[in-house]
Amino acid sequence: MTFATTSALACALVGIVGEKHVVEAPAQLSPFAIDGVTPAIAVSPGSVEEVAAVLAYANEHALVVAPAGGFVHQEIGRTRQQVDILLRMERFNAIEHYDPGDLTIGIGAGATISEIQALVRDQGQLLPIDVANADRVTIGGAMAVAAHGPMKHFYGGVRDFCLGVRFVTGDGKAAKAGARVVKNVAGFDIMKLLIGSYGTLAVITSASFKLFPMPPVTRTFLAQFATLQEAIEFRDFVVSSPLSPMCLEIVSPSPCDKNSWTVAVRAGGSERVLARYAAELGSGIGKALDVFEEQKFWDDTRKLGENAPVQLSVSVAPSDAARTIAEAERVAGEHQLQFTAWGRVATGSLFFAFSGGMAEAYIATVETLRRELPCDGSAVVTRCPSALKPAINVWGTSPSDLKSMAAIKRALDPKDILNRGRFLL
Amino acid sequence: MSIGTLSKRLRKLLGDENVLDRPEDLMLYEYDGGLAKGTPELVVFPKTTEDVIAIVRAANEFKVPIVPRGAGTGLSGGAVPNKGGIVMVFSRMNKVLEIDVANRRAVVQPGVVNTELSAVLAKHKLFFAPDPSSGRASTIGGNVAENAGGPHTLAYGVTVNHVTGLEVVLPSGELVQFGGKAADSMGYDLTGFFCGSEGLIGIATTITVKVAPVAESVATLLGIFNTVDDAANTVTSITEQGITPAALEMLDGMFVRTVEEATRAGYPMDAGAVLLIELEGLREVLDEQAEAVQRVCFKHNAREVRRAKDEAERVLLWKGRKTAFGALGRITPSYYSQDCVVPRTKIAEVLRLIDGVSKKYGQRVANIFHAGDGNMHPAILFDLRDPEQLARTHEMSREILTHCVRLGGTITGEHGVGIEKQELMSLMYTDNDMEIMLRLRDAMNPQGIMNPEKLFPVRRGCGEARVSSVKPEMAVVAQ
Repeated sequence: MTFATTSALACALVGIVGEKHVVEAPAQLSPFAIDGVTPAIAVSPGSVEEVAAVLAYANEHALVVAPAGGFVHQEIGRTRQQVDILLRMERFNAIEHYDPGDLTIGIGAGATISEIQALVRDQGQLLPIDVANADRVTIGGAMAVAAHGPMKHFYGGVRDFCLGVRFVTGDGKAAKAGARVVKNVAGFDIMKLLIGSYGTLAVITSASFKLFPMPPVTRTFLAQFATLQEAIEFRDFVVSSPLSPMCLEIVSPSPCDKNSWTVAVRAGGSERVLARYAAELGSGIGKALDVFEEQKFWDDTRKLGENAPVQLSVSVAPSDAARTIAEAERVAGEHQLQFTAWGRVATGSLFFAFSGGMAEAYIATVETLRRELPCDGSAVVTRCPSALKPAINVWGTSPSDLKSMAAIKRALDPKDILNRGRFLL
Repeated sequence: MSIGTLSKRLRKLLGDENVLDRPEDLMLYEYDGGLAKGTPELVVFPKTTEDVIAIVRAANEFKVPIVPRGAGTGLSGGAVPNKGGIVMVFSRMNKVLEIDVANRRAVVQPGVVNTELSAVLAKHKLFFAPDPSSGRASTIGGNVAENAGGPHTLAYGVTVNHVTGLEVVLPSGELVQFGGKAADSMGYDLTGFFCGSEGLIGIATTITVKVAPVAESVATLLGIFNTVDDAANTVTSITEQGITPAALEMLDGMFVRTVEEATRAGYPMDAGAVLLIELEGLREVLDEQAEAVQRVCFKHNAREVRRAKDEAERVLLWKGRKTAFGALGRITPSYYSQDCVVPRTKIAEVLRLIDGVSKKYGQRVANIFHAGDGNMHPAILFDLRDPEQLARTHEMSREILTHCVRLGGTITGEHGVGIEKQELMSLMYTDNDMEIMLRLRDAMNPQGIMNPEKLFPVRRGCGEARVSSVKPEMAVVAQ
């Protein structure tokens, strides 16, 4: 973008949101570089109308817009060739409604997960998006990348408890879908399209969610095994028991525990219920963690792989989890990479982190792993050095329904201004 | 190109036994569970995905609309051919293709009936959670199209929460796969988007669903109250206590008496309202929750709380609920049941409003609903033969729904919009909201061949003209 067009853009944006909410000084923009691409300008709208006006302007001038929340997941995806406008949503943090008796909440897209959790915790309630960096991840961002933590095991993903959404399309139309009640089938379920769309279809301005009661007491039971196979057998045992734990997580031998595979079973309920868990799980259980120890275990688990240069989010059918993890471990070994695996082992939502190697090793590892994936499996590279992106297909294989996805993209963002180049299409 | 030519083509493709075109046969496919009506020009019975593709291609060539139909138990006109064309019936694509116990998945054809799937799953001590009251006839394909619910979706979620993969024939005739057995798939969540799209964007030919293990134990309680207010407040308190029952159903006094006379389920004839509460899970959890539920009931002046002692008593308590709408035939020639949802803290308020509306218009309303979800099914009682009563019923319905939407609720929680509520969409959605939905419909269904003139308002002069001959009747005639 030339200086002249940038200043015209700045004038237009200042006209929409006011001078205070436009940043164009390069020094202030450089922290917001995405894969080394610095946005030409950053704007922080304060209302849906302002978002719509910014997008209408960008659409008219075919400018590339990157919606941004807490800047935690921004580098997932292909490298955007240009970012003209960074659309920051931090001013959208108001509570639209919170009805504890109904266990529903509606909140601005810029509110952080920590803020929401603190708010509902006071009422003994839970928004089960237990992700790392919850103090920075915004609800809009969590929706955009379909973020999930260990609680996905029991509560499902964001798609399962999002009730309604307000958004602005790429061409600046403000609209909504869904409602704030826990059951609704009126109209198309646009929530499903926006969740996991990586900010490529519309800018989410607020959303409504179903909340869950926080169990009175929780306890985490850890079972340790020498081999992956034994860990998977224990998973199968838990899954076929009458228990329904909040979390059922696997953690590979890692810096915390170098020698064993860990399966963590987190249970909630009264002491009597927790005693039943202990009885059912039996002698397989090494440790039972309470309160602070429990908190620390889950905080540590969420942080796994945070320093690894390459991280993958893998989804396979539950029965394919064992061989997918084993294959990843084998390939990592072959390329002398350090390997960590963790995730929701009973739903097949796994994470792999690789470190300690050169570019070629990472590329070869990802390629081999993808070749061995079952046909409905996927492996998205959620973190890698920007320099690797041209050589690694971050999204992996293309789905068969790519044409439908392209049609949907055109319907909501006709000029492809939202995160152009980032996603599959 | 005429329908006659198309009929010949399809007979050749599918065999004579899989195509109907005689008026007396076509008449049978004019209705679904509602009273909207439209006569198909052809009825076809695909047996394979390839058949579906061939029919869709032929329909494109002849520019004839397609309306997919499961068992026709829907209540909103989703399976009614209001624009004529082809009704595609899935009763011959009714195989359970696979029960994958290790992955907790079932792979089925769209014509599989809910209770048939349940029967197959029961052998593995598994179940499929959505349990619409029409489950003895309704199909999984229909569940997907309407995003069906049921009493037990309170704890387990509705259809969309249980579908992981779909094989879909697009309106162009192209075959695609959305998702699979894995919980998440690459790209936009078209599986989730497809559920509840009411047959407007394609036809599912294979459906992969999550199935869950049957709970270790179940407790069924009947709370008996003198007033609906007390029962409604109990519902809110149960939710506030952090208890999520598997089902939490409410019947008001009028329903209680009608049902009791019809079924002898043991409901007290003079109750103001009853709550049917089912808890599932570990024995320990159940004991605690049953006690807590009883405490809450008594706190809100319950006259009595009964707990079913055995399966026979449990079945009897449920029998009253499940046959409730049928029993209405004893007290009214016709009724029109709503499907609104409100925040669970507003149930008492809405019940008072409904009572007010009932008195204002001088027509009785009986209330039964999935209270735990706030999904209310007030049934306005009237006589279809009296046009004034019918008109009043429409006005009452609109007044009730308008209020529900004002409280943040919806016009339909599980029945769908279809034809029945298409003109009510504007109560919830702005023109912008609907324009975006229409863009998506047209993106997926560019020729407009799939289930035309459904779900969205049909405005004169706005591209799609209303067809006066198929103006929907909103009533349901009781037996």
